Amino acid sequence: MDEVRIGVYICDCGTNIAATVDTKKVTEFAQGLDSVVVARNYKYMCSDPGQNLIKDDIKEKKLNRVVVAACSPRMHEPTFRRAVQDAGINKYYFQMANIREQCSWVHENKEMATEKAKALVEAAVRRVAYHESLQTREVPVNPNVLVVGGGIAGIQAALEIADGGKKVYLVEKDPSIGGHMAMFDKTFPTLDCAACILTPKMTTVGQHPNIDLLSYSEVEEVSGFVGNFKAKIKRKARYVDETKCTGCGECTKVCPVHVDNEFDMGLSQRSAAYIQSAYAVPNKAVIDKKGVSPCRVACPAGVNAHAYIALISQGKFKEALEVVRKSIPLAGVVGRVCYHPCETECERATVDEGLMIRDLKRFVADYEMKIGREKAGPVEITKDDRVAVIGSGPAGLACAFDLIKNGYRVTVFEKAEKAGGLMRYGIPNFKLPENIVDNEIECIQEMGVEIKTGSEINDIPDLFNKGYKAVFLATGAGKNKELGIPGEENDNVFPALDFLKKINSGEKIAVGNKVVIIGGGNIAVEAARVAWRLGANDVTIVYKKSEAEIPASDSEVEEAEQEGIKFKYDTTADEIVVRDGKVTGVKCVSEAKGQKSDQFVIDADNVINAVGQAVEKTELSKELAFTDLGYLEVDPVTLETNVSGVFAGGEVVAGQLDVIASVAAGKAGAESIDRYLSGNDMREGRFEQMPRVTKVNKDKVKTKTRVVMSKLETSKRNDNFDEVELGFDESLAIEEAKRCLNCAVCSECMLCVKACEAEAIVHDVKEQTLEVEVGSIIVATGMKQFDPEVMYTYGYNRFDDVLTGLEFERLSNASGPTDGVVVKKNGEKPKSVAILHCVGSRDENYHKYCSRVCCMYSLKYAHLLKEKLPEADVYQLYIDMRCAGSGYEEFYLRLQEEGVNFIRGRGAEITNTAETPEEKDKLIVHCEDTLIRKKRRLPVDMVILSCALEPSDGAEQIGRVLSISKKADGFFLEKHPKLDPVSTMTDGIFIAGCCQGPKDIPDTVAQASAAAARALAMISNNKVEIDGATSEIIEELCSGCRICNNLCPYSAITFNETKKVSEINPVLCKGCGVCVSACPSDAITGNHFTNKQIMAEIEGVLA
Amino acid sequence: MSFEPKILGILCNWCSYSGADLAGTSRKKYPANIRIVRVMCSGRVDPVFILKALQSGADGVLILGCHPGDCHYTSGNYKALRRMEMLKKLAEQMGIEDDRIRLDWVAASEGDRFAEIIKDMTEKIKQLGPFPRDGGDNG
Amino acid sequence: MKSYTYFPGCSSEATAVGLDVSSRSIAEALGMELKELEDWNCCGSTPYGSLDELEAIAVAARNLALAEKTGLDLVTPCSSCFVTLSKARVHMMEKPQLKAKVNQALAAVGLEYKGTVKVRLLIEALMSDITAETITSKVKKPLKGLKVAPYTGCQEVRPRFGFDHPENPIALDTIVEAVGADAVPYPSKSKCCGGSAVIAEEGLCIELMYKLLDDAAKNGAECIVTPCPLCQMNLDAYQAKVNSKYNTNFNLPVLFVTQLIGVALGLKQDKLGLKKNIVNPNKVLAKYL
Repeated sequence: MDEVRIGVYICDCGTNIAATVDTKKVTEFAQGLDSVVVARNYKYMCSDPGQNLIKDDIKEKKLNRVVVAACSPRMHEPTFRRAVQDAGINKYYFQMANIREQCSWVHENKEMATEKAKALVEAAVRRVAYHESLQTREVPVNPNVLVVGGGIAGIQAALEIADGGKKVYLVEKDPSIGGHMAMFDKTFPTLDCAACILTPKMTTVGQHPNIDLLSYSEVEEVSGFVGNFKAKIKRKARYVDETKCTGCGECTKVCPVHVDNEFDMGLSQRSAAYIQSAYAVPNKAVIDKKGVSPCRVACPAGVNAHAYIALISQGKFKEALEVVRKSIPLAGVVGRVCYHPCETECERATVDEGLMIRDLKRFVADYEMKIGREKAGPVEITKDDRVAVIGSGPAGLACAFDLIKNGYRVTVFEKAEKAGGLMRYGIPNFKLPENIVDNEIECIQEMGVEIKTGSEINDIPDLFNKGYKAVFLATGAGKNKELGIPGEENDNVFPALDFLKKINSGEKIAVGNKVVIIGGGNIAVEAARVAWRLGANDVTIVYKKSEAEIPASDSEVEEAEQEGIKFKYDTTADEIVVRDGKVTGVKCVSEAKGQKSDQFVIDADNVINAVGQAVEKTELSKELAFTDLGYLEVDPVTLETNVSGVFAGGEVVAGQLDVIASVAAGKAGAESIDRYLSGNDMREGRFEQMPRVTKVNKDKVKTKTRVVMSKLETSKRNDNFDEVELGFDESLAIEEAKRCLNCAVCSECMLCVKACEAEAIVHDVKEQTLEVEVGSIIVATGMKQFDPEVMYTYGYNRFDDVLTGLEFERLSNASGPTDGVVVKKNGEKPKSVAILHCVGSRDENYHKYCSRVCCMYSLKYAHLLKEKLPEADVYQLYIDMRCAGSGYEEFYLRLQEEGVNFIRGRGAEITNTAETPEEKDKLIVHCEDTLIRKKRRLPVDMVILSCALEPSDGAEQIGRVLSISKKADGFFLEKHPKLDPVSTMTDGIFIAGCCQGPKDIPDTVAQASAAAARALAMISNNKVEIDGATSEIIEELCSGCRICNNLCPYSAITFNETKKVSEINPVLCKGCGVCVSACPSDAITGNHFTNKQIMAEIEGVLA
Repeated sequence: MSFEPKILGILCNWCSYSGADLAGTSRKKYPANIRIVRVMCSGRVDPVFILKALQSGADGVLILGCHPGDCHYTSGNYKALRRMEMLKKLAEQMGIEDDRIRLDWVAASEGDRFAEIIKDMTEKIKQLGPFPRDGGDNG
Repeated sequence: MKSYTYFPGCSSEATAVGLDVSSRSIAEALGMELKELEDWNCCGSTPYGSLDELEAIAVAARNLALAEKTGLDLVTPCSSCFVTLSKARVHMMEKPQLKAKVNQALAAVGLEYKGTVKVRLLIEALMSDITAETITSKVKKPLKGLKVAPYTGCQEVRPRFGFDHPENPIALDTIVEAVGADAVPYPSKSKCCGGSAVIAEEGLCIELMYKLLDDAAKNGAECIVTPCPLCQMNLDAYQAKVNSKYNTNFNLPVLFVTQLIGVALGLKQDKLGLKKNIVNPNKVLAKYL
């Protein structure tokens, strides 16, 4: 190595260093250090003369190392590196000692500061002796630019770059660009309308050949380095084909779901299918779909409850019934007897009570009957194969329904005189009137399903011989289980199923006065209620478990109790007492807290056995396999029995089932038969889970319990079988349906698909990922408004007519929710308005900073109010008026002349507690008027809170993705607050607009243009320098242990299989040095931060 | 004269060194016992530096990096954290007091915090006294 | 069974006997052992502090030094004692010279204040250690249907030692609900009752009390509950004066929160000091007693 010749330069920095550090002493000290050829002291080393000192010394004294002790290397290292390079030596032969920011500015003890400065200089001198010459690398710059955020900053930056001839990817998370500026009414101080000046720019962006507008998208991942970034952009599912959508808005008109409109700050509603605003760019619809609502996920038969409820809420009853019929027949039946698992899952239940989903379904079925049902068919037969269904209960009918919709010819064989199974013969008319069942069955027949009643099938092979290609067996479980106790053979003991069948067939049965029913299901309770109607006055239900465990539905039990039926819980029947061939009572034992009671007798004239259903083993099922429990055995997914082509479902397979579960089985059977006959895979795709929505925002929901369905008075039920639950009228149904929270927002009712003439709506798309390559990135993620609800005393969200600034913008905007008329919540025009400044800003408790624009927009609001309501009193409560800007102070003067009342004093509290008659029904602003030194109570009709600006919601995430830092206040950190407000610490990533700090539109536009200029400058240079301080692996020393491979966050280290050593890609390496310190063999050199260099510095600083 | 310790600070370029500079531009005052060496990332710090520093005249060593999750190089500070945990265990075995070696996090905006950490550490090392470089009882 | 050193405070022997009696009674019922601090002295409260700060802190510190010896948390039912003792503690913690001076004074009586004792408000200890759920589980007579206006007072929401939200305090509401009663929302719940200013500026304070009583009554309150002896005294003892000045006929019993809890726990009247209340609470509480 050549002789090391070091030049040391100690800067005074005026008095910044010299006032605390004795720079002369330090210079003397430096002169005495090893290898130091010259040591000088100068006032301003960074100045031209200062730099020339260095350059001259290098030439004259043949220096090959330079040390400067001055400010922070983060400040001037590049400056001095350039200087040495100019003088002819490699720029890495330079080291800086920080004796200003980290010495003279922070220490008071001058002696200690001087000693420390000496130590820092010695450290630098010792270190620089070990410096090596390094080369910077040049890499090409990708000419594309990524702009994150489509507000005015992003739009401006994108246009500048695109007009400069380069390609821009503009990513915006909302469906349309425009950001907050698009929401404003007029802009200060010129009062031009925001939309008028913004929309031309938005349109240009939308049409510019160089701008790729990626709306409704978010940047998910970014890798690479300056000039060469790779970005992964998530394109959220719009469910609308942008190439086909014309922006006509027809879908928005028919969509039945309405939620708060974010663009109007929640002051109006929008539909699930919507276009963001009247001037959206792109002017395309988007469907807000967050998943699948819980009610839909809960339904065993997949009925789209959300959709039909949404349609009912808009009075679209016919369409609602169509939605039901898309999935199942028998709406009127299910709407009366279903056990409604959907209602349990309903998210509204966590607020007050779940929706009456079942009763709403009944409503639309009844409504159709009321207005007269149109003929339902016939459905076109498209398939050759014929299918036989045995059994016309819910499972069989549901299977036939799905098959005929699919174009198959179906024949349903029913053993009984009429079709309907337990729907007709099991459930009494007061619960499910016969005409409802008749209507539903007629509907199915009109579609083309052939139902043959009075036809018992005993031979399945025979059906195949007759030409049927597949069979669905749905014969149910119609055999009553036995009690298994003595006395049950007596004639006065009725099996419940037989009892109900006879009653439902119109037969007359005599019962005594005292009837005991054994069992706890719906059948037991219904049998009891029938007995009461037949004249029994003393009806008791004996159930072996507790009240909480009884399987009968709550409403069934409630109605039975109204009818005077008694329930004995935790009681088992041991024996039926028979005397003289007649039943006299039932011997029972009760259990309480583990203790059994003595046996007692309940007097009875008749006993009804309602302990459960079993399957009757008949001729029909002789070839079929049965499970140990006595039910038909089928494959749990395909429902196929052991005989090929024969499928089965419903109670014959599962025992007692709720109607909807049978329906679901029927549907599964139809699906299996379709696949079987088409030769398709029987199992594929049948397991897919629907993505249930989990997060539902309930903050703004006001409690409102269910509507009450009228029921027949108990006194009127006694001697007839008239229906007890009387249903809803239209207004009640709509009222109940409107309680729906619209969990998933879009309900997939498909009305939009029908309405769209351009056929642009596609509901089953998924979000996509787009990968782009760019050279630079401009972040313009903007701001969001502070939520003043946390400031309890201001009463936001507690009182009506306390608004935030943005809410007022929308109110005042001619395209807003009130067409620009400023009104209170009750529709009246306010006679007085107070505008409070600094809500959330300049506040120790929330944000210490001033949000810069609020004084100006508050003045703007005052002006708009005076314009729209000339007679109104407008109060402006300020601390200081900040009107620095072109035309701003003049605007302030103008407002004073318009007669606005300026009160210098921060609003303390908003209250509605009146203390004088004038304050009645007003909002009172309690404040101190510091200029007249009085406390004041201002009774006003409306209060506007000028809220702080905060970093937008997505900023934190974007910061992580791009690895850019935030300042303490949350806004992005600029490289230098004065000299470089658009760069970040990461080369190639720029920031513009409010994401860097609150500012007005003129400054935002200027900053955006500046960022664009930087990006264009990089592109025009065509190349970018990569620092030479990267790490290298010394091949001879590498043992191939590969410890370093997984440490690199940039995947710059790979293993060379041939050489069996690790290698570092110098282009990817950023020189962090993590691998260097990890290497057990010391085989990695961290250029410019080698162990030798660092240790020399450490030893020097401690000397 | 009272004991004036020498404390070595190794700071990462991006967060903690900027934070220290911010303390400077904000004119926060702290004792002059701290001497700072800059590395690019706290993950560059080899535990050997710390031990050698103690041998070479340091009475305490302070490593500062970016807050977890905010490392400019994504995960360097996690490596520093792991190494320091192991080093502390070793140091304990060697009889070195826990307070002499400290790892902490300072963000670029935390000039105040930087000054407080320096004051705190300086006070603690003053209480502990000079590092027994020449062996003491345990050698 | 959690043990505490109990600091009754002077009002407990005079105007707030009800508070003391009911506090001890419910503590027993809820499993808190209250050991009265031996030889405690007046904490000094607001008057002493306005005369001489050092003396005031020393006077308070004597209690703290005595309490430290027991090793238990020091718990007091009186809001003002709580703030006075806490202030003394915090000032000495932040200013070592002050602590040294106070310790000099204490040394003269053979005491030393180390700074280890925790000062807590009885209500806060109830909420944190015993918890509202435990209180509910021990309620024998749920105060169903009783409309109570919770009046927190100013001490529990002070910036340094307070534990509740100053503009919308809810701790007291939680207790009211825990014993089965209905906490009535009323806008003035966080407004001042006049405090000790009633002595010098009676007219002004009567007006403040009127606003409070009026607001509570308008919103349906049948009674008021408060943790602070001074608030209780103002709203209770001066209610008649408010009535005569403003021509109103308020008849709102003002209960200590410990008395309310005691009623719900099924404790007898004489264990709760209800006879000490000036506006008779018997009518309102009749169905629960």
